[in-house]
Amino acid sequence: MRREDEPEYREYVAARLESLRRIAFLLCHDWHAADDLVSTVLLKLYRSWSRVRRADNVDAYVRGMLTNAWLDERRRPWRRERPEAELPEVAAAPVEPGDRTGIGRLLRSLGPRQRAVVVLRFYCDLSVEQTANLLGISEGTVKSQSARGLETLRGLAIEANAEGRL
Amino acid sequence: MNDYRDTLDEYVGTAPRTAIDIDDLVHRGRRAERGRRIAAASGGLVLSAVAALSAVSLLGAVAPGPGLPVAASAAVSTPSTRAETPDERAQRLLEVLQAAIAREAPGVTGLETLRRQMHVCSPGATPPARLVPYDAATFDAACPADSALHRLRLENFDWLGQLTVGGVTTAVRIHVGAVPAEDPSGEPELMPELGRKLPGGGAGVPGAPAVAVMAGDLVVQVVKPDGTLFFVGHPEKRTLPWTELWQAVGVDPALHL
Repeated sequence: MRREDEPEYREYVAARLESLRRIAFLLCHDWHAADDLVSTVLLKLYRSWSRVRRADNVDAYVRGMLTNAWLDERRRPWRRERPEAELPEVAAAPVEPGDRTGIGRLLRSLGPRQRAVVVLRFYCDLSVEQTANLLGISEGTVKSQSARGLETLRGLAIEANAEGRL
Repeated sequence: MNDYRDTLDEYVGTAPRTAIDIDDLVHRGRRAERGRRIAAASGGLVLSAVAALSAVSLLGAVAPGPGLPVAASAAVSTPSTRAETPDERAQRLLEVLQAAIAREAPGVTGLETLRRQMHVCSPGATPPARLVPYDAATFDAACPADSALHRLRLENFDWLGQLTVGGVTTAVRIHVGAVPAEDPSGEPELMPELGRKLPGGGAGVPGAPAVAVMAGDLVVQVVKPDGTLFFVGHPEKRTLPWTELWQAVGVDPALHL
């Protein structure tokens, strides 16, 4: 990166750090692992900042980097210590209506790519097309993989609204 | 903002304080770029520290002779507030290595034979460099100033020695240095057979970056998250015994630049 581009990089990181950490947490379910993931991505971003800064939607691009980095890590479990706080990827118990941790159980019950789709679609507000492009999968796959999450999320949101929490 | 996002936000809750520091990110990013520039400028000599240094050492190593100069001025075994000199670092690393080997292989003999080495370049020759016993007087001029090995000389340390464990004696070449910052987090991707091991078989610190270990017949290599690269092999490219021992030595937390 050119030195004159660094202030812009610093500014971007400072503005988006917390947002990226929250997205990473939704993927990792562990704050240490989330911070590790974000650090990795921000280092890659430093290297490619001169190119990324010219993207139409820098935020979407960086979120894609984050999600793909996490998926890469999942494909190589030997590359990184797995945090003890991370629960095994087993089918979760049914989510209880109004259960404040139900969303976590839901996300953990999803496969990595399905979890990535849910986070990008419903937390990052990306479109089906954007999500498909960032993850390198078809729009049909995005739709099918988000269906289960959407159904459960909708139930949780309705429940929360009914309780006046939103 | 949609309802789904609110629901997910509620699940995330309040984020704890982060250890991510922007200044540190920029510093690491700059260091990585310097590493890439060095690799590019060297015309492939240092495409990776692993390839270059392994090739140089395994093809061009010479056995240490008796009575050769020992690298070290003042031993530094505790953290110091001032910057560590390369010689102090070499001595500290040697002490850590000797302690780790003795711990992992009780009864080992020959630790005192470990002698620091340095690269002497021979441009145009094959191999392009060889290891010779460290000589402070010629160290800075042993490789051309525009060569990668010259630039790497202050943060790469090598020792040759002959160790005996359980009745088996072998020559070893040990390297501790900096991983060239091609991609700090992605370096292990170059080695698909990487496995992991931690001392005592523990699971590591939750959330801690990984220590990547490669154990082969000829070389054991450990890449640490702080950028420390450790590898050990036979100086004449023979089969390396005691791979478990070397993995345990390599992942010793005290072994770092």
